[in-house]
Amino acid sequence: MRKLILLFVVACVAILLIVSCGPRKESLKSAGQVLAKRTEQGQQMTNPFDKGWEQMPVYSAQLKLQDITEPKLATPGVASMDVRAVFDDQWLVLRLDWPDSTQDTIAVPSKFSDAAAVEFPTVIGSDVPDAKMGKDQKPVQIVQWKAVWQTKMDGGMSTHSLYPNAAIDHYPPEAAKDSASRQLLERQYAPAWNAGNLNAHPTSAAKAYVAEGFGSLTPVDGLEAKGQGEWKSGHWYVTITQRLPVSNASSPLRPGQRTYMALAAWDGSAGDVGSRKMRTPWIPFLMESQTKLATP
Amino acid sequence: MARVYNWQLGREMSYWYAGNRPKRQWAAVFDINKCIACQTCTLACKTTWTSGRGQEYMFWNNVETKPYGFYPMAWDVRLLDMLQAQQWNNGHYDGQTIFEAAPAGERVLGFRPEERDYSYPNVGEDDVYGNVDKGAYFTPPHAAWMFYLARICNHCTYPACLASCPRGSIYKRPEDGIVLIDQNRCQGYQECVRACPYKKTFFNPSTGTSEKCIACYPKIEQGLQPQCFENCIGKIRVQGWINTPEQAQEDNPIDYLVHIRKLALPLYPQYGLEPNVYYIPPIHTPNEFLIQLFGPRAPEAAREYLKAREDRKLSGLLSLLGCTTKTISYFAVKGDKAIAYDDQRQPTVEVPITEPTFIRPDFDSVREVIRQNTP
Ligand code: SF4
Ligand code: SF4
Ligand code: SF4
Repeated sequence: MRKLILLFVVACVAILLIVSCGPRKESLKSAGQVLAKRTEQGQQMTNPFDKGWEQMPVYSAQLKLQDITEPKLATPGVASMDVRAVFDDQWLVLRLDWPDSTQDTIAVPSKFSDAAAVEFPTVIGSDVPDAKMGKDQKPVQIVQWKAVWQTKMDGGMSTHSLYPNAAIDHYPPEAAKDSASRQLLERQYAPAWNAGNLNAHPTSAAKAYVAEGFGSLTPVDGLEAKGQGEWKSGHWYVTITQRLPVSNASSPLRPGQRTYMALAAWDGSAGDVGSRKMRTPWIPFLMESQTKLATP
Repeated sequence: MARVYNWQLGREMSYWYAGNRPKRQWAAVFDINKCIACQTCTLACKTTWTSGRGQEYMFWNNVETKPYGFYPMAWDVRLLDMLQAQQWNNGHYDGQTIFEAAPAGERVLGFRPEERDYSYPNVGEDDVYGNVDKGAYFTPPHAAWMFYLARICNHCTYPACLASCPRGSIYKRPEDGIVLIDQNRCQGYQECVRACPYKKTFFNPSTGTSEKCIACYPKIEQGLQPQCFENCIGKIRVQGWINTPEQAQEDNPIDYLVHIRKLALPLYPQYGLEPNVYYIPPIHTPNEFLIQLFGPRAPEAAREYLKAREDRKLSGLLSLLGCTTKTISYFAVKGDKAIAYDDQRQPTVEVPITEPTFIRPDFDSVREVIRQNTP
């Protein structure tokens, strides 16, 4: 009998161990707000599977349809997203994860990429702009990660990667005599690249923008942003990293300052793109402080 | 939505933005009866503008054989099906446009072709089946028929591509009405691909943006006709400027063919975009099909065209098609000559309305050879 009890206890411990080692560990739930923890290793935690994430409080956000402006999303997609956050002196890193049964990492005619975005107000205080992309004179700051940018940076969006059997005689830049003139021609034959559109030539899998209302999303050069995502067993794990402002007096993104954040997600397979997305309203956001908290 | 006036429908209609016609509107006339489907236009555009990465599948200019040719697959019949049967009433369109028929949550009624729908341009569309009775091809309309439809962007007065872009990345130039996609602003949402009923915007996977026919604007700005016009072997095309019907001018070639003689008609006017490429309909095609493509005036236009030979001014103007690289802003017919003029009313080309006939003996006594009658 004692042997049986021992066996039972060992089995229970084993099951518990297996469950806790799965890809989705249950972490501390953070109710009511996203709490960014200070860490010395902010930079290292850009890996979405960094062990450190397991220690961080998690906020489970519920997303709803963008059904305010046309074109709207007709059918609900990504319904929930878990968010964790850390920061150091220079960087704010957010780890987002959400269920998505399809991995959409390219964008070709009629096929769209999975993506996610985080949004912050640019002003301190409770009189924040609208979470629905801000408002005229009341901008919001957005960082978006797209799976396709990651693919592009890894060289996976070239014609030969997308269509391995394609027969292509020649592209005009290939006639160039040297690499400088070839580079010039490559740009010339890619008008969006030539026009400075980062979509054509991403330098990172995440981009920073400002917006002052629907349709006004504009890239900001000054704000450095990075993204890294991995799809595993029907789940996206993504980090979005943005540089914190150096002089942070007027920025809501500083330790101890209560502010807000919002999230958005796109499921490429469902045709989500642009304003066809799932989104959250403002969620209280706080970067922890050793000192007394500032109220919004 | 705003209310705008669409003269092709003879009524006001709903549009995403308020009406704002450009200073002048780029326009073109294509004479379908002369097209030989040589695809020189397609290649002229391709080699000029779309030989880069990600543009492999794009044909800003394409020529398809109607009724069974499509690029992309089923581009027109699929939307006609979505729009369902609609009514014209005495030259007025009583039906719904694609703006008015937009489902809840959408700006425009449309669909996005699948990638494979672009994969088979011109495959199998010229195959003829069945017999044609002796003599049946002398009197139009024909029982067995087909024609070549050359298509470019229509630089529409009310572009669906422009209306659909949630970022406002598409604009219509105030100086000439040419519709362009801002390549810096476009984020590749492909909303314009879904919305354009003519499927003349294309997503470039390499740049992550959508691209379209630019009406060869660098040439237009120099008073030159676009590449696909200049290189047209069949001489079916003319590019110029169109006024609204009440401001039509007799000496403006586009106004004359479209408004005054009502010979050239828009493609699928019922969609409501006021497209600005006008077609002289084929003379041998059954009326039902002509009306579906070009509106209720199409059978009459085809009949008028058959009589063009007897009309000096009309045949004069038609003989100017494909005879100059310059944009034809004005024209005149004097005696047996048709003359084209540029914007400054300077003559750019003069052509005989009837080509002189030369009869040569079959034996060339100078070279001591028998001439072959090769065209
Ligand atoms: S034809 Fe299509 S792409 Fe061209 S202006 Fe009209 S709607 Fe836009
Ligand atoms: S007008 Fe110019 S850009 Fe447009 S289809 Fe013709 S050649 Fe191409
Ligand atoms: S070049 Fe002219 S004749 Fe030849 S296919 Fe094009 S439109 Fe037709």
